[in-house]
Amino acid sequence: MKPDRWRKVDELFEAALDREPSHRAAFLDHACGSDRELRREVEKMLDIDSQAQDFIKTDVFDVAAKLITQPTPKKSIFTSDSIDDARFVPGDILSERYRIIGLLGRGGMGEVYRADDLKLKQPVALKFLPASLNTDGAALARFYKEVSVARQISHRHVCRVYDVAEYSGEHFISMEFVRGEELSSLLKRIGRVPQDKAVDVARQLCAGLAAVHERGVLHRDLKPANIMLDEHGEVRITDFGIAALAVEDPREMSGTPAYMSPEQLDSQELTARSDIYSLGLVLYELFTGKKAFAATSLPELLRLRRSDTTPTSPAEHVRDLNPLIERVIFRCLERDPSKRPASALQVAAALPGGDPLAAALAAGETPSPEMVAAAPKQGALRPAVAVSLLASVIILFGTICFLSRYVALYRIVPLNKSPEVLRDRSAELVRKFGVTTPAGDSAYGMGLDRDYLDYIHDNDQSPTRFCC
Amino acid sequence: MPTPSPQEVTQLLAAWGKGDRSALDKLLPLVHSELRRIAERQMSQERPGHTLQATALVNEAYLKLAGQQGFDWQNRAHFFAVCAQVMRHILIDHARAHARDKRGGGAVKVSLNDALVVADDQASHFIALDEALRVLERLDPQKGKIVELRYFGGLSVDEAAEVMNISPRTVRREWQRAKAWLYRMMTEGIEDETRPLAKSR
Repeated sequence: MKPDRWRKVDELFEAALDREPSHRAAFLDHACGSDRELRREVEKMLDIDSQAQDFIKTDVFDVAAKLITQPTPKKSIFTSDSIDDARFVPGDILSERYRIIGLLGRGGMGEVYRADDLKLKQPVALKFLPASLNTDGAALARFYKEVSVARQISHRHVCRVYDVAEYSGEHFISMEFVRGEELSSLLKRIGRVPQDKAVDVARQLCAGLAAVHERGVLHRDLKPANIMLDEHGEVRITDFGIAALAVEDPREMSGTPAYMSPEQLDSQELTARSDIYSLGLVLYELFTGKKAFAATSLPELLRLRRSDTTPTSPAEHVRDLNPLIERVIFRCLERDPSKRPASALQVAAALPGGDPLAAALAAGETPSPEMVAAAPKQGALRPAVAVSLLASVIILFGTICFLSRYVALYRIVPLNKSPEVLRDRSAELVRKFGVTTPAGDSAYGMGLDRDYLDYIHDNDQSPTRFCC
Repeated sequence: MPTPSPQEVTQLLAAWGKGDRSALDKLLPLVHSELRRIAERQMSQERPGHTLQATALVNEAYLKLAGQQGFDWQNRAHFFAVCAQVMRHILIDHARAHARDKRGGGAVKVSLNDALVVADDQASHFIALDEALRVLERLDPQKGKIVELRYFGGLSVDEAAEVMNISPRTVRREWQRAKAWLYRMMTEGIEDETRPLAKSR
């Protein structure tokens, strides 16, 4: 609303509040005249007024006063309060198989614990479902289906999902325990990732996401907090497909609004290209250390994301950013899904030095057919170019053969006897010179008499100088 | 920074009252540490869960900083306004730090019909409120000031009226409409046309 319009609405709002509710309609009829929009606005404010009065409580001073006595809290997931109210404590054994080591964190889903798998003697991460899902049959069915697909995904850049289990009515997933750091916390710690390393991370990310998509699974909540960098700096994508399960209420959306594609914000159908959009936002942050859409509150974020605002060019944050990177990020961030790269591998291929095929082969992996198809056609010719090149070579040959008739000396000055006759003559001459043993082999050819040619060149310029 | 003398504090308050921004910048840290000191002492003496009296806290801080000359009425009003700003800074900073930590944790669920952040998430509520208040302040500085004093400064209607030198009736009426506007901005998102949106390409 424009400031002057706002003032007008506020004035009428005030005047209407001064009147008895039963007199307000007549008052607005008079005051707004034919401006229906104005009347609608004022009525809306009157409506809001009836529900808004209790929404601000004035007891925040108390909260602030308590805060003022504390230093800025450096909260981490390991602070005591999150341990205190965790459901399980270190040492608890679940389903006679998993021994809890500690609470790793709380996701949108539920609690995540680090545990030891006592049967296989391996560390695992246990991820619990939100309590409300444990009794929801449909959601549980979706959960099992999603896990059954997810556990088939085996890729070095995707966190392995092992199994589902239940402990006193609570469902949880056991998955690979990745010792490392979330990309979100890395970015918080160091700002942006240096370009070389970022390209490397981006490529691994693309490879992992492609592997997820290959199985027909959508991630639905790709964001830096769901990307782990293990102790060797290798990328692991976690939590794929699982965000979908959190949808209990159709009016609610799951996932993190900041990293959602436009179609996801509008609750439309999602495709692999929706993940590509989220990938674009992650890459933006990876290369620049800044969020593509910076907002300090949820309403602001949603407004920003729904408007046609495009993010600031990454090159404005990082001066020496390779233009290829900026281009691929903006392609991922197209509002129209069909304009985005079709696959994560295409994104990888568009990165600088982007030949994922070579990278995969170098890493000893068998590239998938999709990977081969998406790889840049390095060293190969387009068919049209190849055919025209072949045609020109053939024409060139023909021309040479044709022209040789006029240029080659032996054509201009033909032999007056055939080579066979001349051969017999020379054999005869050899015999006459006394060599009687029959020749085992014979060879003949033409030689140029340079001196004679020089002589002709110097003394005879007539066009018929070679004719006899 | 050495604690300035009461005269200096009074001068700073007067300068800010005349519109000198740099005076406020000098006052904020000063008031912050004084409020903190007093609050800390009060909290340590009281039983847990005790509610601090905002006015008492601010008054004590004021007497401490501005001393005996602090009975200038105008300056005292400015001091309340500074305190409200300090409290707002503290709250929002903490809320942001908290929200940042939360974000690392995982998905945030949002109800689309009601963009108001989920009730138990007080931090994002503060942040969203602050954001809406900024817009309201640009549209209507008086309403903004009333919200700041009442909400962040913990002042009653009468106290706010005294500080702003307007009638309690005006405060009450403006406060009522301010709440409706803030509620609307927070539930519908903010159409802020008072300043350009984020940079467009």
